[in-house]
Amino acid sequence: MKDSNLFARAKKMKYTFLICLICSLGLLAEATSNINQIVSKTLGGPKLEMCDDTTFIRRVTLDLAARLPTIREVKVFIEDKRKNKRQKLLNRLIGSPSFVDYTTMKWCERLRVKSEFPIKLWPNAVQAYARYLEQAVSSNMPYDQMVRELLTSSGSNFRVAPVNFYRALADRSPRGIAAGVALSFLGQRMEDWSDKEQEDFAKWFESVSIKKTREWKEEIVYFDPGKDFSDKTLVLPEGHEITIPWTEDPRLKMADWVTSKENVAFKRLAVQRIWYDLMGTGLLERVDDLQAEDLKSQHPVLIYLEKELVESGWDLRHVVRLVTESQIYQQKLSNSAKLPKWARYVPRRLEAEVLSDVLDQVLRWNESYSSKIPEPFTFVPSNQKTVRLDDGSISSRSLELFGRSPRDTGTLDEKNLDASFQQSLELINSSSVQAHLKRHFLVNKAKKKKDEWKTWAHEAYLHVLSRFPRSEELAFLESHFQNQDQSREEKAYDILWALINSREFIYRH
Amino acid sequence: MDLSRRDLLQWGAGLGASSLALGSLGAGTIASKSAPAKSLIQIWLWGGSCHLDTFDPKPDSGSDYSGPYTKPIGTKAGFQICEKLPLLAKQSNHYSLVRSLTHGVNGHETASYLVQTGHFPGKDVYPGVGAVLAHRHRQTVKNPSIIPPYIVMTKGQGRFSEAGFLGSSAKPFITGGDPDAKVFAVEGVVTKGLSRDRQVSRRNLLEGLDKFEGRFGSYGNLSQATEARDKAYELILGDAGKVFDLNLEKSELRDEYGRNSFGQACLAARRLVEIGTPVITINFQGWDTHKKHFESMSTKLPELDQGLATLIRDLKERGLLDTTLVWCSGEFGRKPKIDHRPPWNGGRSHFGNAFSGLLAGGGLQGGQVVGSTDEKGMEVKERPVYPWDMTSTIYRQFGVNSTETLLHPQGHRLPLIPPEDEKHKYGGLLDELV
Repeated sequence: MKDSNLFARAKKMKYTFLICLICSLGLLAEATSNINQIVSKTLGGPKLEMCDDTTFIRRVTLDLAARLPTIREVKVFIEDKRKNKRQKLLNRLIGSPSFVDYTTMKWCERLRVKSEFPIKLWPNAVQAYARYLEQAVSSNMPYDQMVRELLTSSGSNFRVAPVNFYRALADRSPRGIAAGVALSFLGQRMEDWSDKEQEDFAKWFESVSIKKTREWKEEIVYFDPGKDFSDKTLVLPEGHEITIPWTEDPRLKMADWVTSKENVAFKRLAVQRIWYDLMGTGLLERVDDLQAEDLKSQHPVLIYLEKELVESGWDLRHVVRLVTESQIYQQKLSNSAKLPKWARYVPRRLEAEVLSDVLDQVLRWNESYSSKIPEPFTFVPSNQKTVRLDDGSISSRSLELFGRSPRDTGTLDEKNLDASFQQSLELINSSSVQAHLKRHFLVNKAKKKKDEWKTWAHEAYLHVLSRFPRSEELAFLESHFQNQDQSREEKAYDILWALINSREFIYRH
Repeated sequence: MDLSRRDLLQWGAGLGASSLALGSLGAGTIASKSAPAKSLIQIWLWGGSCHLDTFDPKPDSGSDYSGPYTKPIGTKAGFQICEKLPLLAKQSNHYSLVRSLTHGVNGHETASYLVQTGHFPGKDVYPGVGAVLAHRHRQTVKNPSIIPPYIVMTKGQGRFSEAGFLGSSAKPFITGGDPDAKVFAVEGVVTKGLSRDRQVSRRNLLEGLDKFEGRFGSYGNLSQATEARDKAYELILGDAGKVFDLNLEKSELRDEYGRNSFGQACLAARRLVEIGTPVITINFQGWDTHKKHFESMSTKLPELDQGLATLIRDLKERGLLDTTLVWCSGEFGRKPKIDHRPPWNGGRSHFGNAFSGLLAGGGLQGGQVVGSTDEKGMEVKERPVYPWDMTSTIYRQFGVNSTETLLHPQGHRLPLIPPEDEKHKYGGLLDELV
C-alpha cells in the first residue's frame, strides 16, 4: 500500500513537473503566439504566408535601422539554419545605434524639433531637445515617463531640454499649448472638441509662462501661480473635476491624467504610431487623428498591444518586438491576398532621409546640407547619416524633393511619400547620381576583373537589392551582356543605374 | 443698372473670402479675367546692384559717388541711365524705372525676404511672389504643362526659402547647369555625355528588369511611381524638354543675347514664356561688390544690358511683352559713397535706404520714371515705393486682389499683403504705370 502510494505520489509529482514545464515554456512563447493567434482569429481567414529570408532581412533592417543589410549580413543570414534566426536578427537590430537614430528622428518629427527663422527654436535649444530625445530612446525610457518629463519640466530651454516641448509650439497661448498636447500625445485635433471641452482643457495651461534671459535667445519655461492666490478647480477632458491648490503647478496633475493607463487615447496613439511605422498603415485608419469612434474601437490586436505596452511598463521597444516577430509583419506580399487594410504590409517609398542614407550606402553618396539659420554655424560632417540630422531646418535639395517632414505640426500627413516626376528625374538623370555611378566600385570591378558576368550580377544584386538575381533576370541580363556595342564598364554602369531606379530599390516591401 | 447695396456687399465678400489655397481664385474674381500679365520674368540682381551705376545715375555727385560713370545716356530728358547700358537706353519706351525703392535694411537675408515676399519677417515665413503666382497657377490651370510652373535659373535663392509656409509643393524647379555651355545641362532633364540612344537603351533595360509590380501586387502607391517615371521620360526623351535646348535658336540671336550665362538664361526665359510658363526667375549673381566694384561693373553692366535689352525687344517683337511682366531688381542698392579705405579699396557696401528697379510689360506702361532720390542718391526725395507697394502692383497685374489670403498649413489664413502698421507704411500702388 505504502509503496503504491509512494508510486502514485511520484507519478503525481512527475505530472506536476511536466505541467509546470509546459506552462513555463508556454509563457515564453505566449507573447508571440498570442499576437499570431489574435491576428488569425481577427482575420478569420486562411493562414498567412511568410516572406522569404532575403525579403525579411531587407524589410526588417530598413524598418528598424533605416539602412540596407550588407552583402555579408545577407549571406550569413541565409546560411544560418537556426529556427529562431529571425528573432535573433530583430533582437539585434532593436536597440542598435541605428535603431536609436531612426527612432529619435521620428520623435524629432512628432515633437517639431527644428530651428526656424524667425520663429520657433534657436539651434542651441534644438540640439538640447534632440539630445534629450535621443537619450530617452537609447535608454528606452518608459514612454509615460518621457511624456511626463516633457509636460512638467521647468527651466531654461538651453539647459532643461524637455521644456522645449512648450517652446517649440508655434502658438504658446494656453489654448495653443492645449492643442499641442492633444495633437502630440492624444492623437486628437482639439478643434474637433466642443467649445466647453476646449476651454476646460486650455485652463490647465494658464500658468505656463515663458520669459527671456540675458543670454541671447535663451528662454525659461516656468510655473507662474498668478496673483490671485486662490485654488483652482479644473476639469479634465473626461469631465472629472480636480481642485488644485494655488501653490501647485497644475501640469503635474494634468500629466498624471495624460499618462495614466486608463487613458485610451494616450496608449492607442503610441500603438498606432508603431504599427504604422512598421506596416505602413494604422490598425485604425486614422493613425494620429483619433475620433470619438476610434477611441471606442475594440480592435482585438489594438487592445492586446495596448495591454502589452502598459504591462511591460510602457516599454515601446517591447511593442516593436511583438509586431516584428509576428507572422503578420513577416507576411509575403502577393496580389491574391485578400487582407483588410490594417493587416497588410504596405509597400511604400523610402522616406527622404532613409533614401538619402541608402543611396549613400549604395553609391557612397555623401549628401551635403545647408541651413537657413545664419548662425551659430552648424557643422555637419560629410559622413553623418541623414537620419541623424537633429535639426529640421538643415536640409538639402534632395531631402526637400523627396518630401521630408517640415516638422510644423508633427502629424504623419506632413511627411510626403508620394512619387513625383521630379524625383524620377533626380534618380534617372541627376549629375550626382551619374557621377557616383561612373566611379562605382562595381563598375571598376567589371572593368578590371574578367569575372564571369554572372558572378558580377550576383554581387550587384546583393549590393543594391539585398538578394540574388532570379533565373529570368539572369536570362535577361545575359542578352544585355552579349551586346557588342558597349564596353563591359558601360554595361555594368547601366545595370547598376537600372537597379537603383527600380521600384524594388526605392520601396520598402 | 444700379448696383444695390446688397450686390456690392456680396461682391466685396466674394473678393475677401476668395483664397489662393482653396483654388477659388481665377474663376471667381473679376479682376483675373482681365488680368494683363500671364508670365513673370524676375531678374534678380543677387547681392544688390548700385542704383547710381544702373538706373539712377548721379553724374554731378562727385567722383567719390559717381565713380567713372559721369556721362549718362538716354533718348529723353529725365530718363537717363548709366552709360554702360546703351542698348537699354535706346528702348526706354518699352520699360519704366522705379527710382525710389526703399526699406532701410542692409542685411542680405532680411532684405531679400522683404523685397521678394513684401513682408517684414515675423511669426510666419511668407512665400515669395514667384511661389505665390506659381501656386495659384497650379490650382487654377486644368491641364498643366509638364514643365513646372516656377523655374529658377540656374541656382536657388539661398537667402531664404522661396516657398515659405506654402511648403515643398510650391518650391521652384532649379535648373542647375549653364545655359551658355554647349549643352544646357538642366538638372535631371539633360545629362552630359549621355546620348539619346543610350538613354533609350537604358530605359529598355530598366523596364526589362523592373518587374516589381507583377510580383508584389498593386497596393501601396506603386502605380504612382510608374506614372512619375513615364512623365520624367516625356521630359528627357520627348518634346517637352526641348524648351531648354538653346541650340534650336538662331546663332545670331544667341549672340545678341550675349554669349554668357545671364544672356543665355534670358533667352531660355523667353522660350519658357512662349510655352506658357508662369514664373521664371533668373538669379544673376555677382553684384555683391564690396571690393573691386568698378572692375566688376565693367563686365556685369554690359552683360545686363545685352541680356535684358534683347529680352525686352525679343518679347516685344513676338507679341509677348504685353502679357509678360519683367521685373528687375536686387535686394537693395549699394552705398552711393565709394569706400576707398582698405580692405575695400573702391568698393560699395549694402544700402537699403534707396535703390532702383525696372519694370517692363505685363500691362504696365513704358517710358515712365517713378520717384526720385536726392542729388547723391542717399535718400528718397519723392514718392517712396516700399517692397509691399511693388509686390501688390505685381499681384494686381496678375489679377490677384490685395484682399486675398493664403492658407497656412496649420489651418489659419494670412493676408497676402501686410496690413498697414508701424513697420509696413504704404507709398501706394504704382498707378503711374497703368
